[in-house]
Amino acid sequence: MNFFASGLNTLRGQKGQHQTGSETIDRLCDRIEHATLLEDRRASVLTLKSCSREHRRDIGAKGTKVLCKVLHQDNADIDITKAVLETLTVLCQPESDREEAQDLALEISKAILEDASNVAVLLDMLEEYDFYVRFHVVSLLATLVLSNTDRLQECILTSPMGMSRLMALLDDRREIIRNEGLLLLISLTESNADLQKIVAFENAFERLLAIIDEEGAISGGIIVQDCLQLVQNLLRYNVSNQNYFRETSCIQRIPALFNEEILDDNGKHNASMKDVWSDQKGNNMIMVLELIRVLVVPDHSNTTPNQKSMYQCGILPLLIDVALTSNAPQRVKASAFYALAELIRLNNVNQDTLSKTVIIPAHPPAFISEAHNPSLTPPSRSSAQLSRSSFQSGRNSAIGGHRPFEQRERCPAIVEVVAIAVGKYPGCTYSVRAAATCLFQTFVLENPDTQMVLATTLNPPPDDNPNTPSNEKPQSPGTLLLEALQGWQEDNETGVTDPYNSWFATVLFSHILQNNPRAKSIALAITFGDEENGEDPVSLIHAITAALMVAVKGQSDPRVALGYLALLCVWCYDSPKSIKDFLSEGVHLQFLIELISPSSKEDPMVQGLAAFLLGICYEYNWEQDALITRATIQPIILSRIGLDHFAACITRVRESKPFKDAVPFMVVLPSEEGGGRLPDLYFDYSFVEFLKRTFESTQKSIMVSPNKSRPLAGLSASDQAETESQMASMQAKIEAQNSEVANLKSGHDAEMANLRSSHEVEVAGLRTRHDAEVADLRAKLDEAYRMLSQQAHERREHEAVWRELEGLREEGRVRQERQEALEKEHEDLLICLAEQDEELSGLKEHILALGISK
Amino acid sequence: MSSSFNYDYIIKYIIIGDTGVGKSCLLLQFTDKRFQPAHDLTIGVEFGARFVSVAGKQIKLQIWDTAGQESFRSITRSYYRGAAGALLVYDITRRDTFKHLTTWLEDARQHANANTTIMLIGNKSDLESKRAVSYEEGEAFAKANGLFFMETSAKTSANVEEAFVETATNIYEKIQSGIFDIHNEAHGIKIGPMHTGGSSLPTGASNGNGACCQ
Ligand SMILES: Nc1nc2c(ncn2[C@@H]2O[C@H](COP(=O)(O)OP(=O)(O)OP(=O)(O)O)[C@@H](O)[C@H]2O)c(=O)[nH]1
Ligand SMILES: [Mg+2]
Repeated sequence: MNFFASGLNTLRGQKGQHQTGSETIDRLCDRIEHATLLEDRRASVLTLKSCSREHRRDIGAKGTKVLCKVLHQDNADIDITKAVLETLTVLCQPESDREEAQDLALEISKAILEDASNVAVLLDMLEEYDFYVRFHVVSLLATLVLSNTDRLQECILTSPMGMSRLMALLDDRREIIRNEGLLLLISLTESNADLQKIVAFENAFERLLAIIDEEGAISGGIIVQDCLQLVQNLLRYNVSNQNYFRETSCIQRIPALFNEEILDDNGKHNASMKDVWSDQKGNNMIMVLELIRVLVVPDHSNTTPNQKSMYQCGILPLLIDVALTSNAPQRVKASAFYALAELIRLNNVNQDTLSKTVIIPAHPPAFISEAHNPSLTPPSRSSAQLSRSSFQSGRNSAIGGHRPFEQRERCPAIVEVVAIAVGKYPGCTYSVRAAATCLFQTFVLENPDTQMVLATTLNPPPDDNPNTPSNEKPQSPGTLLLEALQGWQEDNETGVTDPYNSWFATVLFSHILQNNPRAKSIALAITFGDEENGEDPVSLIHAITAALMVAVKGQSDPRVALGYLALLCVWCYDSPKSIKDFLSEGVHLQFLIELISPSSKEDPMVQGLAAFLLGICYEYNWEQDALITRATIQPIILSRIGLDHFAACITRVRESKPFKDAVPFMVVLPSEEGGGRLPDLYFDYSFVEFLKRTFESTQKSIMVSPNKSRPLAGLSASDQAETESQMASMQAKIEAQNSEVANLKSGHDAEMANLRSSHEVEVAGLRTRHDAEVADLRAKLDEAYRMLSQQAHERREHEAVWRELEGLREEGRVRQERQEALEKEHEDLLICLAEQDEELSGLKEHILALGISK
Repeated sequence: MSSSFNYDYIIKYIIIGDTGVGKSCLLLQFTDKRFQPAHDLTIGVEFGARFVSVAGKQIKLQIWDTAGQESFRSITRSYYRGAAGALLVYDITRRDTFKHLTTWLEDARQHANANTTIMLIGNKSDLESKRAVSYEEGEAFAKANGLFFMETSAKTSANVEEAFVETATNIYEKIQSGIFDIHNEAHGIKIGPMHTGGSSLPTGASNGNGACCQ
């Protein structure tokens, strides 16, 4: 023992004299390796341990292997084992943040992991019950996982019993060990699918859910959060484990996670605890919500069955509760919105359930400011000065006179979602609004009927019966949107303008209109201004353009203009009628041109969207009687703006950072808001996708001659509608000609009576005139027929294309049938005409005969 | 879905054997009643589940289909011990897969629970013309090593159902005769809430919310 004591003294007494320290460590290591007596080995290890912090490098270099060897040989002795474990843990933990220290620790852990049997022996040691042994093994493994995750995972995978030993840590009644074990499992399962599966195989879900139950579900401590984290790790992108989770009925156990112990600190039952949200409870709830999200991520093979299971066990109402009726903190609500959004995405049953849900909102009613009172000035048609009230004047203001903090009226859940998204509640964070917007988006996604219903709510709902003691005016999603669409101006009085007041509304509105011709027609029909009060009605699309113009002229934040422009692009795209209405005010075109013109100083992103909008206005400008036609627009783009500049505008917006940064489910991080900061939301992701998908063809279309008739190659719904309407107008033409013939004939009859008393010359003159008229009529008919057959030809071509497109085959068939019917009708008409022709010549002969006989 | 909680026992299976012998196809035929002609190499381990009925008892089979590829061997060993049943599969048209059975069996004996029921399966019995291992050889190997034996076809589904059910029957008998310690879940068996044997596991009993969640 003397030797060791002196060795220790040497080390301690002569700090800095590395030579001596190093020599001593050499000798200690030698002793550990070669001493025959266990006591000697143990004492050497203890000495080494006591100086491990000061001599990391030396001990690491010389002692790592030796210490590992002790683990294999002497693990029956608890004391020496503990000392070795502690020493190794110290060596593997970087002393500081300095790179050197990090590298050293990494090197030592590498040396330990080099031999997989070292890990195996550590795992075997977990069979040992001794607290310190277990604790130190877990600590060492936790240290190793941080420095070298991949290699440790590999080593554990080669040990057949390894994972089940680690899982046994969860059953340890000593909390420290259980909790440390949990953290270790979390780190191990973060990225390795094989380990995730083995952990699941070891009944992880059962065991974790049981612990969560025991600990009081969401009202439990941080252990609940950790358990939920591990459950999430096991499920994220792991098809096999998700199957297992569902097949073992674990989804049915999710609702129980929302349960809380409503006991207060004194163990008394206290229902109001439900409304108390500690940070930990918030964290736990967010983990539950994230867990739900992990199971229903978009486009995953398990999402549909998981959505179904969740619907069956009633998770949807629980989420609606957290998001809309609870007083949970905003970050929790945001999470709940995202979970809901993914739960209903592309799932009609779940979308339906949300649309039918009625709730009592949690938010205090919005406070009414004077600025909200509808102005009495009639809106002028010169749109640039259109007052903000134009959205409302002549109709009921959507805002009622309610007092704050009173029990709210029941309302459809979706109305509250819109109210939150558009910013009706001043206290709502941008992150909650972004999340609510995502929910709205998945609510209408591929759901044209819902889009239609929402579009119809643009007309305000009737006032409640004045006898009902309601404090709130009934609202609809549409009226909330209209109100918010001009919201960016509202705070002008206070000197603060929040571009998001209107921005979110434009996003929501775009989702209602996107790819939905019927919803667009409904929106087109919305006008403001009471004609009875002598106001000129202003259409909604004009009112929005007016707001856009005011925003640009007032040099507002570019987000305002971007929102309006994106909305107008979505609205006008593939919608000739909307374009016609939009351009019916000449100043609108002028405005767009000024925005884009090379001398414009406007924000490049705003210019880009203006160019895109102008392009759309050319590409889809097919209305016959439009005020501004393709022939007007093309030369403007080609010569005044220049095609290169036009293309450059669109390229610039595509290459802008906000455009590139847009993500499928828009998020606002807490760090992005607060303290007057505005988040970096400029574009909604679905708009980004829409622009990326279409800008090329829009750009190319500029080169197509304005006189070229509308291409029928398009396969969109509106294209088809267009063809149908062409067919209809053709039919109407034939009918008109038909009745013209009939008129002629009856005119003929009348004239015949006159003719009887007329001269031969007159009869002859009449005949020539008639002949000419008939010939003219023939020519017209021929032309109609030619057009029809050309159309039939075109149709056949298109059908060939369509046949390739499986999804549209059915539509094509219906269309073909319709056209055939039309052709048949046309043929009948021709026959009818021929007959009439015959009759006509018969009549002429008759007239002639009459004339002659006279 | 609704019957998820109504089981008497949950039994864990693993399927092992060389790559390409048809392990995944057997599982797919058993769970989904379809055949997959292409070889989708299994990476690591995949999970499948199905109910079977044995002696009037509802038994839920949780089945882990493992990769036959050598490189995944070390991973799949983690699954042996926790399984109550193992299907050891070879391909009757490929003699080498039969030869490798010894290695597989050694592995299983070393890592699996001593009570694990092992069913030897000669798969692809529909390919009679290409047969390279006779029925008798398979049967003899099984007998010599104390295994159950069957020839199956994942393609025609011949004997597939039987192979899984037979294994379950044997395990059920072991449960009845008390060979399995059913209270130790690590042995690959779990008692369900429907089980009327009296003693139920704490997790099953504590919340008792099984039936209400349907
Ligand atoms: N004719 C016939 N072919 C089969 C049968 N079972 C499987 N196959 C074919 O054999 C090939 C391999 O089948 P898998 O089930 O993927 O093989 P595996 O055992 O899972 O292979 P690994 O995942 O690599 O371990 C596939 O092409 C199957 O179509 C069978 O019973 N009859
Ligand atoms: Mg496979």
